[in-house]
Amino acid sequence: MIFASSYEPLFHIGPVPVYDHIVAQWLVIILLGTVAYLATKNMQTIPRGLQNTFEAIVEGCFNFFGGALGNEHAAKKWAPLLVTFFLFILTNNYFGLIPGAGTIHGFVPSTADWNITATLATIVFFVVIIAGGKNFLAHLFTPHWLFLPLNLLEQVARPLSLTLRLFGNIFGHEMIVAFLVLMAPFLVPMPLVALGVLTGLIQALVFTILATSYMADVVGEGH
Amino acid sequence: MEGALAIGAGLAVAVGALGGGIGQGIAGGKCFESIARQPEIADQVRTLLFITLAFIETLTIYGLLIAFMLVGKIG
Amino acid sequence: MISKKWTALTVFLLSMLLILGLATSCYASEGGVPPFPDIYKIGWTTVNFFILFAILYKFGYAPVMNMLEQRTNTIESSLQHAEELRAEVEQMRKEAQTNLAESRKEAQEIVARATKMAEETKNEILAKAQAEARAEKEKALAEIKAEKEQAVAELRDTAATLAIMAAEKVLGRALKDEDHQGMVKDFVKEAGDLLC
Repeated sequence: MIFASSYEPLFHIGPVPVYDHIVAQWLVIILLGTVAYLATKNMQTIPRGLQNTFEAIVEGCFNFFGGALGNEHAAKKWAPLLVTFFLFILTNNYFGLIPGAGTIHGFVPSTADWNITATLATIVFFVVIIAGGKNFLAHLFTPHWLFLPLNLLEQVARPLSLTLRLFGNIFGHEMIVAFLVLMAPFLVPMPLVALGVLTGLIQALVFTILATSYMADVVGEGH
Repeated sequence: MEGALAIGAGLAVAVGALGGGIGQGIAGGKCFESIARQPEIADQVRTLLFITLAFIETLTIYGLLIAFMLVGKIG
Repeated sequence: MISKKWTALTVFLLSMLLILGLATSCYASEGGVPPFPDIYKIGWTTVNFFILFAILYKFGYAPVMNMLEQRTNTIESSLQHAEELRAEVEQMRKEAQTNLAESRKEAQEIVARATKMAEETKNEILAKAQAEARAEKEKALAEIKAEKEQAVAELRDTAATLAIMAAEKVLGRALKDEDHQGMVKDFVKEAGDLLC
């Protein structure tokens, strides 16, 4: 089959199974880690080449997400995590665009599995609680304590919608491309693959922006 | 039974995509209108548009997921 | 109205086409949606995410943040340095100006003093010369006077002597008129000779 992302474990480490998606995540870690290491190996005051690009990306992300947080102290503390979310999801999404992805083991977009998106959404959920602290509890009772059930529902709905949005987009895209490849292997799926570039970027951005806005709700305006 | 599942799956995505498509069209059109009227706030409007589109998209995606689940039951 | 209807119809048809394709795809891929929840995938993803976070923090964010901070510091310090330099240059300029003004004043003073001194010297020399000249003149006058007095004294002596001589002559012989006249003339001549 073309869409060979099997849900069977690829191999086992002891009793723990390892799946294609996990191998893909390891590849993402190795890729990002190598780029980061090479870019910052010998830092120079006047950046050039890879260092310049990397710095521009990191600084741009920091400014964007930190600015959206609206709280300088919180931005310094939590922006690295948000940028990590962004880079992780973005790179994972783009793993589905590599030619041969799906047929070679380890080259699947790991965000096309809702275990993984659910994990990321849950991390966002807990991080928001930790970042909020007392503010989070206070936020549950705004604007009135009568709104508590509604707020609780919202808190539960947030990770759910984060999970399903990311998973549905990437999984749906994979499915459509797989189907088109099945029907017409040459040239026809190309526009959809090109769309996948946009989808991957936008979904990573939206996931992170939403996580940022959830956090911005609870970290307050303190300067 | 299987036929009903297939029809249900089809309708789930079809109706979801219908509403979502119309909604996204309206949102995009309004966005372009506002950018044409005030080009200096184009960046803010674009960011907001993407978030809005993502929200609308989510609803469609819910339908898509339901369709996948139903189709999975067929096999 | 019609265009909206057509849009809706197109969207509907495309959706149907899409779902047909997806259904076929799902048949083809024999799997449907992945099973949920899979505790191993969740665990692995959590671990992987935080490993990535740690790696990126260590090799990505921390050096970049440090570098940015360092760059900010460098720029700030160089700006400060430039400001200091500017202030220093300004101060030096002021000092140089002050020095210049002072030296100009000093030069003027020196010139003034020199002029004054020259004037004084000139006056002094003049005064001295005048005084000398006057002294010389006085001396000359005094000499002249002294000589004149001497001459007068001599004359007086001579006159006395002459008078005595004349008296002797008068007493010695009778004088004729002509003689008389000639004698007086002689006398005067003699006297004048004596005098001169």
